[in-house]
Amino acid sequence: MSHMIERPDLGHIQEEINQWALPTTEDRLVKRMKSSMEDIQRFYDAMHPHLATVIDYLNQFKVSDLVGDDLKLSRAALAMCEVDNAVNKWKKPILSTGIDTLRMVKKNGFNDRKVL
Amino acid sequence: MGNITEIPPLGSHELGTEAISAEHYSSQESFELEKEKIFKKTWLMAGREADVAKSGDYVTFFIDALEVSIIITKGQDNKIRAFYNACTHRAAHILNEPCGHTNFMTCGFHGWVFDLEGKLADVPGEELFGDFDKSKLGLKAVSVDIWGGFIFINLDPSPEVSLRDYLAPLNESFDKYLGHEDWTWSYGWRSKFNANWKLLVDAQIEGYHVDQTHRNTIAGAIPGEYAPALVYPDSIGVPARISAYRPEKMMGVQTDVALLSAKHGATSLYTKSENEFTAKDGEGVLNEDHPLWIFDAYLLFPNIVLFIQKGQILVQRTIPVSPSECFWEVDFFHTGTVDSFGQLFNSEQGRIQIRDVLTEDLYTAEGIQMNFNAGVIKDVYINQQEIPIRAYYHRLMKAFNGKDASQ
Repeated sequence: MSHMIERPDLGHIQEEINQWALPTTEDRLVKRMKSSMEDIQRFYDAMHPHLATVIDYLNQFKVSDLVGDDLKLSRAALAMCEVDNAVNKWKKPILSTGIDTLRMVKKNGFNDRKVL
Repeated sequence: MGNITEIPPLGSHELGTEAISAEHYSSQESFELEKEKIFKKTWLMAGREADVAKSGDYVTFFIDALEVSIIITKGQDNKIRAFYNACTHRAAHILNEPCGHTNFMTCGFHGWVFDLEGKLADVPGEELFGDFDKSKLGLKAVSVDIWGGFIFINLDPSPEVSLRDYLAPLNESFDKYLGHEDWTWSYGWRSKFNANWKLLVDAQIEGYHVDQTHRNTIAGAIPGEYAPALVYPDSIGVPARISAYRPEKMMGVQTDVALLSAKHGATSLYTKSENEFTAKDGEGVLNEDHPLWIFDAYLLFPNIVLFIQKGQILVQRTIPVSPSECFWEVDFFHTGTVDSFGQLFNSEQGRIQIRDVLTEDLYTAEGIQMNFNAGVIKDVYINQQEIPIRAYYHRLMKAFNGKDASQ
């Protein structure tokens, strides 16, 4: 049996984690859209060196069991998916060659037409 | 036999080379023909069988252009039925939620009650009516059938062809794979566009746009020359398909986030999963023999683009509202559940990548519509890789005139 992966020490980037550990994909999308590129880059640079370890650490748990600081960390890790294109492809917070992403309203089921 | 990694021909000129009239994107006359000859006559994807799994489960489906609302229920006999969502008393909608569960369908206006088979079961104060035969006042039935786990309805009381004949060449293998009980709806989005409904379909059925439209997202992950098209001239309901293949050597930017995601699943279309992922019952559907194959996307006439890959089904639907307005929706189905954080990270990364790619796909439709409405552009030019657009147009003309544009 493989040994337990210890929680990485992320105290030095806790402020960045706090800023981006928002509960939903939509929250993190809005955060990215409203942030400056400097703020996005600062978060990315803080998390990037630790991301592989963070994923491996969190992957030891069921998503439904994540609470407290681990839940917060999981949300910050997911926020890396949200800022990835802005940092690595667009070099700006919002893609200028697509529709406003907020026009795509999240559905709650295949037949959901109440959202819009 | 050619090299196993050879990509099929990008398309052909077998349906002609002439420019196509753009009139049908903007004229009210064409729109009226579409309503009468297509949306009242063809099989339309209206729901997912799993959403009416138990007796009493229902979903509702709305065709905005026709102002038609449909109820789909599963009866006590476990049979799925479809009805117009119209009380036979004074025409109120009976069910107003997208989905739910009820053993009787009760109209909220005066309380007329219909059973799950559509029969009028109870009328409050029945004695207040005069000449009255409850047995003749059941809900009006709509043709319904299931394929691939999807519920299709047809407003034609006697559809010209069965759903299975309509969807040929998509055979029983597709029915089995797509209908597998392991698929569950994961997420989806809905948008409204000031554009003809067919423009949102057009954007998804050719690979010629990939390099330019997606230059800021997936450029290199699926190069345009790796997105060939195929047409089915003999099919009634499946005019064409496109496919997507990876390049032998990934081009473009493969980010660290994408590569970390790829360790934990196969959700993203654009990054090769590190996991050997086996889809159940995919034989005859998935092009698994080709090491570079990613997905096939089928145009299901009139308004569906169905993307099929290992472990993911993606459905894009457009519903017309007026010649220059439509609703567009995309829905994702996956096998298995998201239990571990790695799976969640993979799901999130795939979801965000495709969301961003879709914003690019959706970016052009409203500008195109303006140019058609203004009469600035009257014809469009279609190359061989875009042959699905031509096949779609031919199918449209066939519905209008009883023969395709080449005849």
